[in-house]
Amino acid sequence: MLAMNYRGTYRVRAEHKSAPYIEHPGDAIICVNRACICGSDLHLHHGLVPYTRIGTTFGHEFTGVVEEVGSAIHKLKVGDQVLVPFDVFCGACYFCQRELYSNCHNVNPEASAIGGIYGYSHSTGGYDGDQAEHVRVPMADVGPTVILADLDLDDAVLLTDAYPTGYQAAEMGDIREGETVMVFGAGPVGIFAAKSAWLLGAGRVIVVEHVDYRLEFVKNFAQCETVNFKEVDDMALHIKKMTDWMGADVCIDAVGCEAAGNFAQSLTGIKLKLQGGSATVLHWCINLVRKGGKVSIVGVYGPTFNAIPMGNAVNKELTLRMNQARVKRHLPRLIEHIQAGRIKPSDVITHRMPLEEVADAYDMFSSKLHNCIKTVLVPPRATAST
Amino acid sequence: MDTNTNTKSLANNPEKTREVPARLAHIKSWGADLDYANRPAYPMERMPARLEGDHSHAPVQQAQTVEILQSIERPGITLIFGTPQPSSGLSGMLRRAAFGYSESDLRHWLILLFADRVNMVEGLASDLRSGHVPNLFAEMGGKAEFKYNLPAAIQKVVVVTAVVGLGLLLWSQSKGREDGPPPTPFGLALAQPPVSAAPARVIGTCRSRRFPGGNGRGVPRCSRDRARRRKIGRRRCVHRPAFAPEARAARAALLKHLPARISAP
Repeated sequence: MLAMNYRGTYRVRAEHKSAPYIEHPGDAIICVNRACICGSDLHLHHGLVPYTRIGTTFGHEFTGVVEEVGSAIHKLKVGDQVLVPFDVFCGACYFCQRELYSNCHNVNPEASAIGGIYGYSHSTGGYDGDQAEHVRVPMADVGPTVILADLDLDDAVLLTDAYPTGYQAAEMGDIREGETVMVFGAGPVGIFAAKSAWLLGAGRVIVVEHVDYRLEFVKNFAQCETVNFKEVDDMALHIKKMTDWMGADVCIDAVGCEAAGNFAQSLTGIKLKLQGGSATVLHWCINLVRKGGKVSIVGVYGPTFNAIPMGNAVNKELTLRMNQARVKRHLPRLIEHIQAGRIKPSDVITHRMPLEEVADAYDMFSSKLHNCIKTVLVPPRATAST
Repeated sequence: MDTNTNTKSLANNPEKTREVPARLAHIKSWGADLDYANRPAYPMERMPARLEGDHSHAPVQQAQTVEILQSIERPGITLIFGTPQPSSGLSGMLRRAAFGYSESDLRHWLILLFADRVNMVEGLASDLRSGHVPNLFAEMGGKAEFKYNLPAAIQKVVVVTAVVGLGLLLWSQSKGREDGPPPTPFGLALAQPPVSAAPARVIGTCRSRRFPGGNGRGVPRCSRDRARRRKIGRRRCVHRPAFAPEARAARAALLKHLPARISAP
């Protein structure tokens, strides 16, 4: 089958590799028809995530058609159109029983701090990702959700990670009526976080970014205020002035380990890899939120450590919330939002490219070329069938 | 916290009971999830889980067909795991070593990061072994760069060309050291007497183990050894072997053509 193949830092290509097969009675093989590139895939692509083996296929946002099921599968049947949450989970462990699906304890032997994720290095279980024609989906009776006829495939594929992660970012901010919410990053997750903040009752939403076309997009999509941090001398001072010298009630980090804006952080976190990525946004979040405020983190960081002003967090009595999204838990409500017309997630899709051009797709997304916000890869077989 | 109050008052129809502030009237569906009862991940831990079907039993153990490295912070292998790209080669050895440390130990991650870089070289070698020369330009998205970001692409090409050119220049100069007089920047060494034109001559023996070729038993030395000796950092032979008269004369003739900084001890 044709699949994306990681060959080293900044190097990927599409080539043929052996197709996945049923390895466990709870498995299903899905024929992929939509596969997104996620912002967090870029951290792998840029060599920032340890334990990324050469030959890995990336990708964890996808929809597809069930092609084969294991003997223990009862709910799915061959031919079902499904969306598959990015996290692999068993449904039975201590954490799954508490709906903390992304923290499942039964699916990743190679690390204890994180659960299983498709195509996200061996530190998340070593599962191949979806930027391929076929993908093995473990525990297929638990994770995948059958796509109803009235749900557009492009909306559905964004329900596998980007939209739930953005929503959860806002939800973890514990937003109360009229609060000021500051979202760092205007990638797809940041855009959805800004939009979701309104649904949760925010009184003011401010998005911080440095790429002009993304600021323009989020301003229109989420009707929010924007700040280009490249045009600001001192972020702390600027935001304090914007918020009556108090700071924001809630700060959301939707950027993660490749944040720009601070030379020392970029040098030590990205270039020299002396910490688990650049913690510029975390630094800002802690310093720009008001005393007693809340910081919600969904940006991805490396597993080592980061330089952040922890003393300020203590002194300001901040609440820090963070996790990978528990997609399955959010799906019913988010599908309701789509069906009610409150949000159209597929509006963020700017590019649709054949899987064969995966290297160009990564470069465009990574370098933010051609006003790229979200790219969907379409495998050759899907082009013909759906 | 007014969570409970909100939940009670808005539980039935939150969007109709909540009045949208006038200044936010333009925001579509503002406050639809203001009620905590509508927030799907509230509270953080929720029991019982709202999954369809019976999930009270853990899945059966997946059969292990390839080597799976296991975190020492776990009692054993998990019930489910991925199997692609099993460990192999030098990177595999490094990764096995990394898994001797817990995830809390920085060595675990640093070794894994190093193993990733080793794995990149292994991947390149594997490509070449199978007769596939990687198209680095295409793999790094060069086509998209040229199509959508021409100035930056040209800049990259210039930088890469300059770096490769400089590397080739330095390489050719270091090669020159082996065969001829010590080079000077930009090939000005060509103006100096062409010492290398003379065939290599035996000029004595060296008993030092520190010197390349020295085995302690005395091996023949030739005029080219001098260039090699310079290359390894001006290390001099600890022994001053007694040269045969003809060798001494040959050495003196050689030294006459060399710049002072080379002939100085």
